[in-house]
Order: sequence, then structure tokens, then C-alpha cells
Amino acid sequence: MIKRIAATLILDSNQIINAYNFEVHLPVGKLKYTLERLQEFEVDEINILNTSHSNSVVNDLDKLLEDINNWHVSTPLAYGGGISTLTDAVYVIKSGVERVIISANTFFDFDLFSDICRTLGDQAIILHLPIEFKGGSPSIRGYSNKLLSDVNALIPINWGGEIMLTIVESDGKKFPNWQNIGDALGIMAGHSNFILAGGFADFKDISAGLSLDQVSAISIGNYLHRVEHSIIEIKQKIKSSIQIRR
Amino acid sequence: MTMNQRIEQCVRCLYKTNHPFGLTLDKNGVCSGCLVHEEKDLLDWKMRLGMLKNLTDSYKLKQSKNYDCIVPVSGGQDSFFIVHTVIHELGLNPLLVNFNRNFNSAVGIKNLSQLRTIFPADFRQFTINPIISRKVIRTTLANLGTINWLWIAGQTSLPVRIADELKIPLIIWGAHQGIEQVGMYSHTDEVEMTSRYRKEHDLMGIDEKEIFKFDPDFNPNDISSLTYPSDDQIIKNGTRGIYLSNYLRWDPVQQHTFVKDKYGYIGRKTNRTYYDFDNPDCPVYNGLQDYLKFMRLGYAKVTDQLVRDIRHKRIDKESAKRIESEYLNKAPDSLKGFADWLGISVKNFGPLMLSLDSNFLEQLLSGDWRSEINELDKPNLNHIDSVYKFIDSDFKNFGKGI
Repeated sequence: MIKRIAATLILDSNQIINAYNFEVHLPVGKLKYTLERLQEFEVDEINILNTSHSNSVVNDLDKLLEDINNWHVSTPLAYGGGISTLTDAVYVIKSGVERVIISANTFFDFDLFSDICRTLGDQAIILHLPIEFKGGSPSIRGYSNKLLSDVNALIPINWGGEIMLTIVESDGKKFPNWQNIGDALGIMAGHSNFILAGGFADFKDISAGLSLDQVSAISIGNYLHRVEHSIIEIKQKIKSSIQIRR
Repeated sequence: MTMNQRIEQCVRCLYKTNHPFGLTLDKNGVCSGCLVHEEKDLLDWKMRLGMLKNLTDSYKLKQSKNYDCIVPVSGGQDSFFIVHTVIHELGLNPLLVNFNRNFNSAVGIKNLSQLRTIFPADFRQFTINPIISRKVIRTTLANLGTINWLWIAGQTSLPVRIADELKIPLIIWGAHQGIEQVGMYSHTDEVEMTSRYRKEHDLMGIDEKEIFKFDPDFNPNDISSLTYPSDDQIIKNGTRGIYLSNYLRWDPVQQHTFVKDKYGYIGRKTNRTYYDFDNPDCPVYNGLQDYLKFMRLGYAKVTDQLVRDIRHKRIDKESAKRIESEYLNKAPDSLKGFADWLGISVKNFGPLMLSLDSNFLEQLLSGDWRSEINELDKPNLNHIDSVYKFIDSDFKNFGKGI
């Protein structure tokens, strides 16, 4: 399988932010300038998570897409944030975004999640699961009663979408927590096509993550904002050992 | 920040969410700048200095025959502090690099001369053609509302170009303004120089490749000296720019006391700021440039100084607000020499300065300023006479520069 290196861009109040533990948001700048650079670095895909969505996905997305079109972005995009109806999800795809990122909140409305999968096709969907390891068993951030094992049981075994697994405790850090990643992937052993995120800031860790059978991509967040040529350098270093997109 | 978003002020300092760098507020209304500033009292700075030494030790005469690193200097107080740290604390042999802005205050010229004299380091300076300089500044004034774009473009590209030319991979900067002002990163991120930051924040979104769109008369060759090296060149050379403020507890007020006492650094008071040590090298930075900033953004250099003092607990917010209001509307000084040098009639500035008129720039550049300056730029005897006429009294400051 050809593996991918993705970028996660988190938007808060229309600005890109550095996120730490899903709690602290520090401003980086405008989406335009980072997209411009990511294009030049030939990142494989860009996952935009809009944390400051208004009540209207249509309005949020229209403005964003207008800008993206103006900036001539050709890198595949996925968009998430405020998607709470089938109409929202369909709108994202019809707008030209390749994939829609579904939050855990929408996933827990399982009928809705199933509808979205049926309508768009599994492969147009990324399910974003932020995992916390507070007090023993891993659970979904914001839903301490929703254990990862429960979520795992809900996802059909042959589901064709990808799961973005973010370890909350590693968010914004310089090292992933391999113990937590191992535990989470172990619980979800029946699934593959994971996008790992949280603490990937070194080519060795990214290489180790991509080497895992269940993992199809690593998504980099803060690291790409603070080290200019992170994507280029990572690709150069790992291309001899792992099959990645050129 | 879009038009329809509400502008909010931090509960602790004076910055608002429309800060041009971006600003976030936490659930308690505390801004990202104040939050990251708290790290200054929490981090183990002795340990971080050790990290810095480990990092810089690996560059000592390893990859360059002549210099361990490049240090960009303007002659401001931070230049003294950075050069002192690099030579006497880190034991490096730096090449000092300066981009001459073409207009420099007498104090700035003295300070830079002092810096060149007292530190055991080689010094390299670049001065752009003054006619091109005027042309670019008029363009950025008219289109971006700033006179500082050219100098920043030069000051941020020259060290990187020289790093590539001389194969010196390490550049050492002082403070990361994005961290100091709005808390763009944690100090522990150890963020490094990026061309994205340069373009977006230093150059207001327009770099040297795009500035031409504002003026059909522009020739790209005019400012080829501002060209930032390509990604390939930077990667090949291993060029990286680190910020001392990630490793040392950064406090410009303390640094000022230190460099004034130890190295005879001189400040320069202006009527729009209450400290004398910030940017005294530029005769109009705290004057016209600051006034333009106030008109574009609603705050000024005095706000930056007060925010810094609030965070360092040297002043409370209410007192800071009172001081800010005393300074914001003051008319800028040092205007005439600069207006004359730029080739814009000073009468165009005067009545407009305090009006906050939305057409300020249009009016500022109204009339026949373009033909006047074109006349001025002609390389003939009359031109030289006319230049001397207006710069004679302050020739060192406007025109020749340094």
C-alpha cells in the first residue's frame, strides 16, 4: 500500500492555530499562506478541521471554498466542522472537497452516520476520533462514557472509510505516545486505514507510524507550522524505506 | 478575522482579536500572548540556555571556514544584546549583517558605529539604490499603508542570501515577534525562521515576487537584491534561523539597561512612545510609520510597549489604558525630512495626519507626486542639486543613510 503524509490544519475564528491537548489554541496565521506553502511542499492531502463553525456549514464552507478556489489549491482536501446533517455532508462533497470529516458527535447518531455512508460512499468519509486515556480505558474526548471499545463495536468490520485517530494527550507535543497508540490500535484490531495524528514531529516517528500495517497515513499538525521544510524533508528521508506518494 | 466577527479585547492586556498576527482568547478571555508570556516565569531558563549552547556548539567552525553563524543587526538595542550573547555567552564567531534602510537617525548611525567598533566581529552591509528605495517605499505607502516594507524585506532576506552564498547554515535572530506579541507558539516549540512567516506577517502578505503588481513601472530587476533563497537552496545549505527568545527569558527593558550600561547604547525619545530604546535607529518608525499603523489597526507602538509592561507586571491595565490614550493621537515628528526625501510634499501630510480620513493615503499621494519624483530621480546635475537642497541639513539621516 502506498502510504501518505497529510497535513492537519485547525481553524479557529478563521485563523489557523497551533493546538495543544485540544485545549490551548495559539494563532498561526491565515489559511491562504499555509495552503500556498503546503502546495509547494507537495503534501499528499490536507485535512481542515474547523473548530469555530457557525450554525451554517453552507456559509462556512462557501467562504472557505471561494478562497481555496482563488488560491488555486489542487491538493486533495478533506473538511470537517459542524457537519450535523446529511445535507451538510452532501454539501461538502458537492462543493468539490474530496472527503468529509465526520466528528464523533455525528457518529454517535448512528442512523445519521449510516445515512451519510450510504449516500456518499464510505471512501468519501474520514471518521475523526480523538482518544483520551484518562483513568484507564480509552474513551472519546468529551464523552467519557463512550469507550473506544464501544465505538469499535459500532463500526462495521468492512467499513471502507478512514479513521483519523488522534491521541489527545499527545496533541501539540513533539513525540507520539506509542503506548497509547498501540492500545488504541489493539482495541480496533479489526480495522485498518487509520490516519494517525498527535505528536508526530520527527521523521523517525512518522516513519515508525507509517510502518504499522493498520496505518495508511500520518497527519502532521503543529510541526509543519514551526519547521518550514518538514514535509519535504520527511518525504526525502523515508522514501527509501516506505512506499509513499512522490 | 472577518468583518462580521466581533472584536474583543484581552481581559489582561490591551491587544484585541483584530491584531494583524492573529490572536486567540481562552475561555476566560485571556489572550494567547498573555498565556504564552506566563511561560517566562515557569520555564527553566538555565536549562534552556544549556540547550541553546548544545545547539550552537554543533555549528562552531564545523561547516564554515570563516564564521560560525550570521547575526542580522540594525543597531537597535536588541542588536547589542544579541551580539553580546552570541560572542560572549555562546562563544561564537558571527558575521554581522545589516541592510541599510537609506534613512537612519543620527542616534542609529552612532549606535551601529559603536556596535561595529566594540564587538570583535566582521560586519557586512548592503545599501540598496536610494532611487529604487524611494520608489518601493512610495508604492508600499500607497498600497499597503507602510513605509517599512522595504527595510523588512531586505533585513529578512539579506542574512539568508549571505548564509547561502558563504555556506553558513546558522542564522541567529533575537525575538520571535509572533511569540512576543500574540503567543503564536510555545517557547518550547523552538520555532525557527520560515519564509511563510516572513511573507504573511513581516511583509503583510506581499513578498518581493508580488510587490510589482502595484506599480506598472516596476522592474523586477530593481529589487532583485531582496530575493529570498529558494527552498532547494535553503535545504541544500541546511540554512536555519533560530530565535534567542526561545532560550533566554526575553525582556527588552532589562536588556536595555544592560546594553546601555555595558556598551553605551543610546536611546532616542519620540513623542508617540514612552520608552526611548525601541527602534531609535529609524527616524520615522515611531513617528509616521507608527501613525500609519494606528490608522490601519487602531493601536500603535505605545500599545506594544504597554502590553509588554503589563505582562512583565510593571504597570496595571487601567494605567496602561490611560497612557495609551495620551499617545495614540499625537502627531508624528521627524516628518519633514522624510517627506522631502521621499519626494512627497509635506503639505500633503500635515492636515491629514490627525484626520483618520479613510482616503488618507490617496490624498497623501495626490497631486503630481509621481511626476515630481520622476523628475527628482533623473540623474542629472539639477537632480543632485535638488537632492542636496532638501537633505543638506540632515544628510546623514535621509539619503546617504549610513
